[in-house]
Amino acid sequence: MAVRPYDSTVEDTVGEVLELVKGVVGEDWVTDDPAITIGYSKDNSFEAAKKPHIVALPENTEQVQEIVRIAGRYGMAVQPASAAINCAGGCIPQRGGILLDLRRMDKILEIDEENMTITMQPAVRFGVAQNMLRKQGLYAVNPSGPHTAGVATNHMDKGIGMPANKFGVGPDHIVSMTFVMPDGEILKTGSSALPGAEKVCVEGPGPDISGLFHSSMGIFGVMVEMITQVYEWPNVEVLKVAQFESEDLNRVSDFFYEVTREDFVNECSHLQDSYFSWFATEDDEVGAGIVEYIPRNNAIVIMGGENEEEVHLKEEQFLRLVERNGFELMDDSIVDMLSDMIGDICYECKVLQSTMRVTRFFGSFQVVWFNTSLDRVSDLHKKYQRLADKHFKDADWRKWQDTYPPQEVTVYTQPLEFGRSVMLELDFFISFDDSESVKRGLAFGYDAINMVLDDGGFFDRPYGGSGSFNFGTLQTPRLGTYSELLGELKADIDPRNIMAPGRLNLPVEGA
Amino acid sequence: MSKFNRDPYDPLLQVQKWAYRCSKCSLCKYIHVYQGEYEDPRFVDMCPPGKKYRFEAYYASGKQDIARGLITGQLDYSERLLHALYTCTECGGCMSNCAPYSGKDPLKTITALRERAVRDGEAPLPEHEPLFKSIENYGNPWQAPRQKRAAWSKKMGIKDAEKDSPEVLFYTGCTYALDANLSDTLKLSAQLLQKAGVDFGILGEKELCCGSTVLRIGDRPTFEKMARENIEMLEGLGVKTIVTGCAGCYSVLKEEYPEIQKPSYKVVHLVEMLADLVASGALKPEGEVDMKLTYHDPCHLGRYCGIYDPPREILNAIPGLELVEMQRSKDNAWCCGAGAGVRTAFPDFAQWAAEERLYEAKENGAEALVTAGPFCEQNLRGASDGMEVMNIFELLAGSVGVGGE
Repeated sequence: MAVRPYDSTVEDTVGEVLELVKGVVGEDWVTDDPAITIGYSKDNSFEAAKKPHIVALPENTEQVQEIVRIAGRYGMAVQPASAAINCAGGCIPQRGGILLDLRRMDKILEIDEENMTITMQPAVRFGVAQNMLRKQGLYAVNPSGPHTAGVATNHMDKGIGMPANKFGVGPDHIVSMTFVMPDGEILKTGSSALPGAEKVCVEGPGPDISGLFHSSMGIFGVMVEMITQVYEWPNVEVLKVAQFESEDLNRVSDFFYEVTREDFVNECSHLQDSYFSWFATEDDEVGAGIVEYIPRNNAIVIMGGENEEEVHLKEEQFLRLVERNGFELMDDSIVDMLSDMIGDICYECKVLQSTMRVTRFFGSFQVVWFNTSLDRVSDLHKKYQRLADKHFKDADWRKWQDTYPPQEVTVYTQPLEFGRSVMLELDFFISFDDSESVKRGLAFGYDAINMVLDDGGFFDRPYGGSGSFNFGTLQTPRLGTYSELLGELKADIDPRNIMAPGRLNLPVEGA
Repeated sequence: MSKFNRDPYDPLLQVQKWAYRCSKCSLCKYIHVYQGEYEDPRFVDMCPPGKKYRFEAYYASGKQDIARGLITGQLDYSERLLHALYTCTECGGCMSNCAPYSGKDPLKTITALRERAVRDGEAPLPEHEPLFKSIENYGNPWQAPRQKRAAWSKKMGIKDAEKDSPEVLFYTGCTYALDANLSDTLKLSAQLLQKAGVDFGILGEKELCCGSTVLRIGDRPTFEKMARENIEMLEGLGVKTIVTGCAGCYSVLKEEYPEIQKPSYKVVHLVEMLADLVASGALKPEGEVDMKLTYHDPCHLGRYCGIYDPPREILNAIPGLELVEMQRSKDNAWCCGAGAGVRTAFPDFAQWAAEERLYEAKENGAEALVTAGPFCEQNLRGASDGMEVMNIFELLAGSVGVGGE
C-alpha cells in the first residue's frame, strides 16, 4: 500500500470548510483572503510558491483537533507551521488546503529546574525560551537557528547546532511530544503516553514510535506540545578559536576527532574564514576586513565549568591538542576585536545563532547539508569546489545583484556524537534577481546532491515538496524498502492523505 | 485581477529586490535579543498590527509577499489587503530588527506598497479623506482655521520669523498648535527658549503642514508639493536653524526635505536643543520631580532619526526624577499606534496599541510615562486609564521654573 493521491477536487469545498473552521476559531482567526494566504506561499528556498486555500490560527489543542477533524471529513490538506520559519520550503503547503498557523500557541507551560526540562507549545521561540531558562541557569540547545525560530519544531526536525558533538541533534533532546493525529485524536510519545508518567522516560513502551515523527514535517499529525531536555549553563565559560591556514580539511577532521573524543568542550564547530566573518559582523565591508585577520579554517570551541580552575584545566588540554595538530590559537586581540563587534560571543554561539546574517546576501544563500563521516569531509569539499567551478566559472556573476562570488563555495563542519559523524554544510550563493543565476544554481544544486549521495552522504532532513529542488527528490528513490514502509505507515495512519500531502517524496498510489 | 505590472514608475519596482528576497526569518517581528537578555516574554513583540492580528500579512514579512503578488498580478486589492497595509504604523520596528542582520529594509516595501495603492486609486482610505481635505482647505490635518495656529503665542513677545530675522525658527507643527489639550506645550517650550536666551521666531498663521502624514499614507506627489511650498518659505527666512518639538515634522524636515532640495539651515528637534541648553547651564532644572518615570521613544524621533540620548539627558538632569527603561525602548520601542494615518483610520486599533504601551510602562513600575511627540502624547493620553502621560517639555519647564502666563 502506498500513499493515496491527494484529491484536489476538495478545492470545491473550500467555502464550506471555511465556515466550519470559523465556528471553531472565530471569524477573526481564519480567512481565505488571498492577501493573507499569499503570506504563506514562499520562503527563502528554491521551492516554488504555493498558496494555502485557508489560513487558520488556532489557540489551543482542542481547536487544532476540531480543525483536523473537519479537514478529515472533507479530505482537505492540513499543513502545520509553528513559528512559520523554514528556509527550505518546510512550511509551504504543497497541495494548498488549510495552513494551520500555530503562532498563537506560544506558551511555556513549565520549566522543571530540578529535572531540567521545559514543557512548551509549538510556537515558543528560542529567544523567549533561552531568556526564561537562563534565569534558572539552564539553556535549550539551539540548532543554529535565529532567536525567532520555534524550539519544538526545530528539535523535531533535527536541528543541528554547535553543542551537537556532546548533546546530540534536535530529537536527542526530546522527552515527549503530543500530536493531534489525522483522525483528531491525541497521541503522546515517550512515557507521557501513560497518564501520570510524564517525563520519566524518553522511550515509549515496547518499540518506540517517537522516531516516526522525527523530521516528519507534519505528515503524521500536528505537534501541539513538547517536553524537551535542557542543560546547565556553566558558571564559567571561555571561547577559543583554533586556526589553520591550509585548505587541507583532513587536518581539520583529525583535529575534531581528538577534540570531540576527549570530551572537554561543550560546543564546537568549524567555520571557514568568509563564513566566520559574516557570522561575526553585521556589515559586509567589516566582514571582508575580518577575513584578512582570519585564516582559512577555524575551529570554534566553548569550554565551560563550575569555576575558573576547571575551565583553565580544559583550556590547557585544548592547547595541547592545538599544538599536537599543528594548529594555532587565534590571538586574544582578534577574539577581543570580535567580542567588541558582537558582544558576548559565547552567548551568541550558545543562544542566538547568526545563521540569518548570511542571508544578507539578499536571500541568495543556499545550503546543501547532510551527514557523512569526518574522514570524507576533505574529499567532498574538493569535489564540491570542482562542481562550483564547472557551474559558475564562466558566469558573469558581477551583474547579479548583491551576491557573493558563486564559485567561492564554503563549508561548515559540525561534528556529531563525539566525532562519529559530521553534519557537513556546503554553501553556495546565487541571486534570485537573475534567471541565469537561478538556472545555474539549480543545476549546481542537483549535481551537488547526486555527488553527495554517490559519496555515501545522507540527507536526514529531506524538507521540500515532491518535484521541487530538494534533497529528498533524489534520495528517496534510492531508499527502497525503507521508503515503501514509510509510505505504508503514512497510508495507515493518514488514509485520506490530509496531513502535509506532497511532502517527503513518499511513494504515491498509481504514480 | 490586475495584470502583470509593466509600469516603469511603479514604486514597487524600486523595492522589488527586497520583496523577492525576504528570507522569512521573522526577525522583523520581535525585539532583537542579541543585545542581551530580556526580562519579560510578554514584551518581546515589535510589530503592533502583527501582534494584534497575527496573520503573516500584518507583519513586514507578509507585506513582502503582498508586494510580490501585486507586482506579478497574482493579487488584487481587497478590504483585507488594505486593512493589513494601513494598520501598519510605519514605526520602523521591522527595519531596525531586520536590517542589521540582513541588509534588507522591509519598511521600504511597505512605503512603496502604500504609494502604489494611492497610484491605483485604492488609497487614501475613505477614513483618511477628511484629513486630506483639511490639509487642502486649512493647511493642517485638524480641520482648524489657520489663525488658530498662532493663538498660543499671543502676548509672548515672540519674533515673527518672516519679519524679524531670528536665528532660529521654532516650527510648531500642526498638532501641538491646534490640539487644545497640547498647545500649552508650545507656550512652555517657547518660555524655555526665551529663558535660555535663544533668538527664535515663529511663522504663526503662515506655517504650513509639513506633510508627514500625507507621505506616510502614501501620497508622495501631494507630499512633494507641500514640501516644495514649505522649502520655498523656509529658505526665504534666512534662519540658521529650524527647531521643532514634533517628531513627525522633525523626521520629514530632517530626512525627507533634503531629498528634494539641499537645505541652507540645520534641523534639530527641541529635545536636542534643550539637552544642549541644560548641559551648557543655560537652563537649570532645579525643581524636584519626585517620580519614577519611563520614557517612550517616538518612532520618528528614535528609529527614524536616531535621537535616543538627548531626551534621557534632560530627564536625568531633573532632580528627584528616577528614569526607568521599559524592556522595549530605544530602537526596540513599541509604537504607540498613532502614526501613518492609523489613528485616523483605525482608532480602536490605535488605542489598543497605546494600551499595550501603557501596560508595559505600568508593569515596569513607572508612575508616569513621558514622551516627546504630540501624536504619541495624544494617543497615549486617550488610552490611559490612570497612568499619567506627560511630555518632556512641560516636565522640564516645571523643573526649570517657567510656566504659567
